Amino acid sequence: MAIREVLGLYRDLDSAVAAADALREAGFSRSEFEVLSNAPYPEGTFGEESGIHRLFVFPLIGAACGFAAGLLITGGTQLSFPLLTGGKPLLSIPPMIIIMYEGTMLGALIFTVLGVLFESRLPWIGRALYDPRITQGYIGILVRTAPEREAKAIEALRKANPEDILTENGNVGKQPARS
Amino acid sequence: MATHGHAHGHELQRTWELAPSDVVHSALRWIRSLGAGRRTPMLVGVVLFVLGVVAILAFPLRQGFADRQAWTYVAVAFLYLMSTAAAAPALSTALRVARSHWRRPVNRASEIWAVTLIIPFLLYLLLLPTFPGTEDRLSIWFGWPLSPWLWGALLMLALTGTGYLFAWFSSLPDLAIVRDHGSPAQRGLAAWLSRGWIGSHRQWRMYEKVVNNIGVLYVLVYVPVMTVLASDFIIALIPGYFTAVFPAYFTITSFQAGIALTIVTMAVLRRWGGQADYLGREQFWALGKLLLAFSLLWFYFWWSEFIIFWYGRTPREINVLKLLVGETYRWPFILSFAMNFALPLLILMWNPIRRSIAGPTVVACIVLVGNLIDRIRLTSAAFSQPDSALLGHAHELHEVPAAYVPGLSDLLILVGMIAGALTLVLWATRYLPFPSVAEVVGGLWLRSHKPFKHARLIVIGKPE
Repeated sequence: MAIREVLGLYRDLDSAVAAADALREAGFSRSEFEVLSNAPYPEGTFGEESGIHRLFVFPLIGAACGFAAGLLITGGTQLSFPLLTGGKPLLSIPPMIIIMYEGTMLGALIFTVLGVLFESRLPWIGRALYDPRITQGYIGILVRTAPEREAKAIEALRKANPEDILTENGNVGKQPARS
Repeated sequence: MATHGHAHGHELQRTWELAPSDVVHSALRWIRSLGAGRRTPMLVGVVLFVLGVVAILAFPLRQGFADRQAWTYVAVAFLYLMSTAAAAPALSTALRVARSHWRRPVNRASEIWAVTLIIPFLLYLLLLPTFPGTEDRLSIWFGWPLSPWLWGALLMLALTGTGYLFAWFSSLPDLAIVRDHGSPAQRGLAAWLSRGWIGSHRQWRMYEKVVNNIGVLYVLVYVPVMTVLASDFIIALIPGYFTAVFPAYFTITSFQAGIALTIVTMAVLRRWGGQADYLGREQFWALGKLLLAFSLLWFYFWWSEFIIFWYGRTPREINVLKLLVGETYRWPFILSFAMNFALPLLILMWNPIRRSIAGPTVVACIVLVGNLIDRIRLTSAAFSQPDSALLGHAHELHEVPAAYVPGLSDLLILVGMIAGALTLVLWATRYLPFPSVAEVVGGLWLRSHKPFKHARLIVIGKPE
């Protein structure tokens, strides 16, 4: 199904929150719009529920894999080529710990990076409506919806005194065009 | 919630009086004002770095890897950068985890040093061939195959990679500002690095968690790296130096130098970078307290080790003390003791000095010099032993060697590598605005002004 994007730009936080409220009143669910800003705002500012993320799982899995690899390299090597020296135990624990720790950290690190890329959908390959004024302090409300609801989204965004409203076809202005 | 009071002319952190747009304008001014001011120091830095590289090529490299003493100042430069530039990002993580608000303008000043990690990494690779294998000598590796070369290099690679990831991800939102509003020359790299960043809710949620996670991973890698370096570069190269305290001393004193470097960076940014609104007494005072605490830890860890050797009094222990403390490197030790512990304690113990901007800055400069002298002392002592003195599981230093006096090439190497790190930081400031907009504006959104009787309070929320 085709998805159309509409981006409302607001100068201040109050207008942006009003736009989010107007969208909800117009029947748009929270998953249909996204808030774009140049700094993180407190969770729930725009009425969003704190979502579930699985980032913590990635370093845990990575650490477990890294630890297992470290154990396999160190323990496996010594067991495969058993050389008893001076009656000492076959498995030399202190250097094994260092290498297993390295493996654990490397695994956690690599999987964290993969988790970040997966969970934040970075790098973003597709195109999304965006305006450089967002990094200047404007707040963007990006609506992703079905083509037949695009006009309704624009109407809701206009209620909150936007600075501009952009669609895939260009700037549609903050007020409806007079016929 | 944190509160800041303001009544009867008491100083209030200026940052909390600003509007978010003021912060954005400061950052935009920063990225648009790049020019002659930074060009000259960068040029000087590049020249010194090139001279340092030439000195490495012409002297230690020409003499070969077998003569480890010729590499002494390459190792000093490496260990000093690891103790300062590589330690600073760890401070940033600690402050983030503590969830303090005063740290918001400070983070960038410490994280930016992660961009220099490539220099110690390359120096480490150069130094690796100077070490003998660990089969026939005492070391932390117990003769493990390919140690210390492969496993040490892997650790350093992990630290360098984590450091760059940390620097990249923590500055991603500000790189997007440069991408959108920087000059054409700045935009290319910034656009590539911030590709896909639009500041969506999902991305912000990830940003906050990921920066913390990667920062914690960085600390978790940094501590074992310093432990292994302390063992490979110092303990294992001095026969008879049997100590379990030294790696902790080495790591703790590196954190001390990392704090000092952050304070000096803040002072430079305040004086010459137009950051007086963001880096005020609150930040210097808070970090001054940390610096004092770590200066006390310097003494604690040094004393814990010294007292064992002092009371042991075996010939082995006496020789180690003669080498490191009492005879060969007596003056470097006295200077190190004074500059890392005695002077910081005597200066920062006074409340009015600790509560100032100049006090912690002066002490931070002293600590940075003191740390360098300490690293020179330790490395010069350790690199004075030939392989023959280590092999055969040598348990004792039979002859206390003479002090190593640096030549011109050694000084060129040391100054050149430090200048290279400074140049990298200056170059990074082309792409990383001060203050960090995401950090400071994120804090301002949590701020509220409240009257309280005759005073005015600023209340800063801590969202869960």
